[in-house]
Amino acid sequence: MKPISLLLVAALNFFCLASARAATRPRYGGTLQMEARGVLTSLDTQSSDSYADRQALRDRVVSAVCDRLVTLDNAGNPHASLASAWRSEREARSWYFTLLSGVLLHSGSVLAPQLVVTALSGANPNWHIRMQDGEMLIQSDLAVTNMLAQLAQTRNAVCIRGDSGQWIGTGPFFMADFQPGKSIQLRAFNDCWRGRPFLDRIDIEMGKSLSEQASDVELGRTNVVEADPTQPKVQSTAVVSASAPDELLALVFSTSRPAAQDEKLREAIAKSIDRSAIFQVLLRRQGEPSASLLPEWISGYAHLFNGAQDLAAARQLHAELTSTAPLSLAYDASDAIAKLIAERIAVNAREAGIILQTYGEVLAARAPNADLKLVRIRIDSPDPALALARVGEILTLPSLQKIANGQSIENLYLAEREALKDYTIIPIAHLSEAFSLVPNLHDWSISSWGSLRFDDLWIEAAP
Amino acid sequence: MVNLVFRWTMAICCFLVACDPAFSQNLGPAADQFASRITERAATPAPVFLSLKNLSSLSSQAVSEIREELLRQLQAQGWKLKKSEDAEVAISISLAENLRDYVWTAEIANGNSRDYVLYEMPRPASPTASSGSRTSLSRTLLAASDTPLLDATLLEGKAVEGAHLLVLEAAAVDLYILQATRWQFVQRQPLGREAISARDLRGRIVPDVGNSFDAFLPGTHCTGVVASSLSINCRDSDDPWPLSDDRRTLAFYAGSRNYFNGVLSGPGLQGSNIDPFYSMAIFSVASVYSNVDGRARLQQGNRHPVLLGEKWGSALAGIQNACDASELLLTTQGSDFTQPDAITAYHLVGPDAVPATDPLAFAGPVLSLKTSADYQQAFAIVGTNSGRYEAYLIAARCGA
Repeated sequence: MKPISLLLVAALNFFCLASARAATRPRYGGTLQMEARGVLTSLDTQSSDSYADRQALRDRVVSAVCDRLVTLDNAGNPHASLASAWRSEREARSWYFTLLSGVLLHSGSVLAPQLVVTALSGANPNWHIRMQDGEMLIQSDLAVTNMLAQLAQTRNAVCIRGDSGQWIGTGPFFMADFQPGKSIQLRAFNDCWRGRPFLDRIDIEMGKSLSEQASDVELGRTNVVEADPTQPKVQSTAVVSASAPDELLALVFSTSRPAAQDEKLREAIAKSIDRSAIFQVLLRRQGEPSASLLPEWISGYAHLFNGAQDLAAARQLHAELTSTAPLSLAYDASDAIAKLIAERIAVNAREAGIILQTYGEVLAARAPNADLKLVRIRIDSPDPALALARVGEILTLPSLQKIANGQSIENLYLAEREALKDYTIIPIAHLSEAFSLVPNLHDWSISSWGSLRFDDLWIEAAP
Repeated sequence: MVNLVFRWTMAICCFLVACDPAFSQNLGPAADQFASRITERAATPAPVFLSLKNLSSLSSQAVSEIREELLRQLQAQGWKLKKSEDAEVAISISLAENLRDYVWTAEIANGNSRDYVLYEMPRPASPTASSGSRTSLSRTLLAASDTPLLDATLLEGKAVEGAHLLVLEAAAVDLYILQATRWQFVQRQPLGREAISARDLRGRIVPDVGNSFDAFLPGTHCTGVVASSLSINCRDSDDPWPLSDDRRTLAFYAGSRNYFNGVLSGPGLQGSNIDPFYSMAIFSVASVYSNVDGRARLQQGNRHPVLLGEKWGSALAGIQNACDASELLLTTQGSDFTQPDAITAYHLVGPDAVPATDPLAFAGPVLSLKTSADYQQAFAIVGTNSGRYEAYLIAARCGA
């Protein structure tokens, strides 16, 4: 056989093999041990947490315990959950949902439609929600074209407060124990309407640094840890799984402080930053450098924001300043990557003649008393309008908070450009959420925006 | 040999090109609109230097087509293409995308001023994206035989310990019982009639109330009951056949052929006529039937049937996805009965069928598909390479 035909056969074999895969039926039982940097000290369903790790942990626990009316698949397509069907009328100002009946809550009682109405009304004060002719009707004065994407957000999970403050829902797991600041234990809900999950239990230890997590997974003390994407794999057999870049890393100026009020100074700092070096050296090419609030995969227009370093312009702007007092830059003391990046930004600024004094602080505990801070914000929706509104909510940017859904992508771009034009916020990069998993953990999946499906997971017992 | 290699190479190239989502869309009109938006934004078309980069999943061929169309439209609108040093205006076009849409951007630089045009259009659902729903099809072997199987059903509607399985053949019904997760053969009951001669014999067996059931063969209606043993009585009849085990929709079978003649029966269906068809998937607000012309059609109420773009096999069925309660259309492949086959589930999105699962492959043809009484599963009759016939239970399950 001639070489070209061998290549052809090899190519055909590849296509055939690529479409074939072995399947193993999931097994029931086992406890998933998981560790997280985030710390929950109370059980609230706050949706605009400026501390990405805490928000990520809260979202994941809520998703395991409480269901939403609809969910999104990895392509962003809606799928039925507590709502089995829906339709919209009046140009998306009225939405009708058929709710599943007979769905049991963890408390043993049936989820009454009125409980869904109450939960969603609390989370969406601008919506008028009621039951009508057996359907749940959501009405809004404005068209809500991305209603399904909104209902798929964790903030719209149907959660009820138990007597001791714990979340009660209809999800695959119920909250068995909560030790504020330390641990959460979830147990399988046998009567879950979607069927019992495969795992018996999920134990989450909170407040673990990345280095502690790396050590614990290597010593076999845990099954899943958050991975430092900038470091090599912790265990040769561990599997690394990551979301798309869904965390915004940005500098935020405290404009109430006199030192941060000069726009030229802020612009000079923005132009001095070498995002390329931060991406290539500090982040080891994980995530993406960015000068925009939304990552390219959500907006499609992030490439229009110029993030190239321009030291000459930065020096020129600095030369025009009347004051050259040092500025303080705070970063999260528990975030090793943030420390490295803050220090690199300070080096870049110094090249432009600007002195930034960096220091670590527990940002989750209190707002820093600094001229500017380096923050990480988790973006939890693939819908560009929702994602932008969420960033606006966390950064208190009224123009973004007011973004109406259904806006064209050009209007979203203009709104984002407007929000960034005075340099009070300087995006640096978008980071992925990464996990290291032990190899006997199966059917793990993470969406582009970092949501996990615990109910699909199963553990293969050690031989 | 060279010819053979060339043919294969061309076949692979055609396959790869045909799979490119860009080719399923008409990008030309989109490029026209984008060019018009650029011209609207600029005060007057001027000598322009135009650059274009692709940041999206569009293929190089699609990008090339878009570039040509953009250049043609811009020139038609008065722009004069120049080299960078001779141009008054520079337009930098990026073909980007987000999760749902293509996003095309144009940065128009005229001296020190910058203006931007953004244009979006929906991306086609990619195979990767559509399979991201994490639904897959599973199969459970119920029975196998060296003689042709026509249909199967579960008397109690579900496969629980002690359940009864009935398998219809041309001249008999076989009874099985589920014991310790295995289907144990119990009894074979002949139909007591002359074997029906047909080149492509079809039949149907469905549960009725209690322990009784009905079996249909061309021109024959049998009623049976499972008590201490299986008994069955058959008579000549042109009664309509239930299309699924829930008996909601019935159709008259063309006894001397191998299809239903298109006359439907059932609640609200009296007098309903559609084209002759081989099989039908029935959903809550619509149905899909495989026409005898080999194409599937979507029927919604009394509206004119819509031709579905896909060319499937003759066997179709509808089931509910246990993962998300959505409705799934089970289809087979449009290959010969001598070829391997596969069952694939689709979501119906308007008149479009979007793959919801990977194909579930079989070594031989899928001869029959029928929805179970609980709408959660389907019965499949499959031929094998060795000449045996197998009955399977097909269900959608979460996860790959």
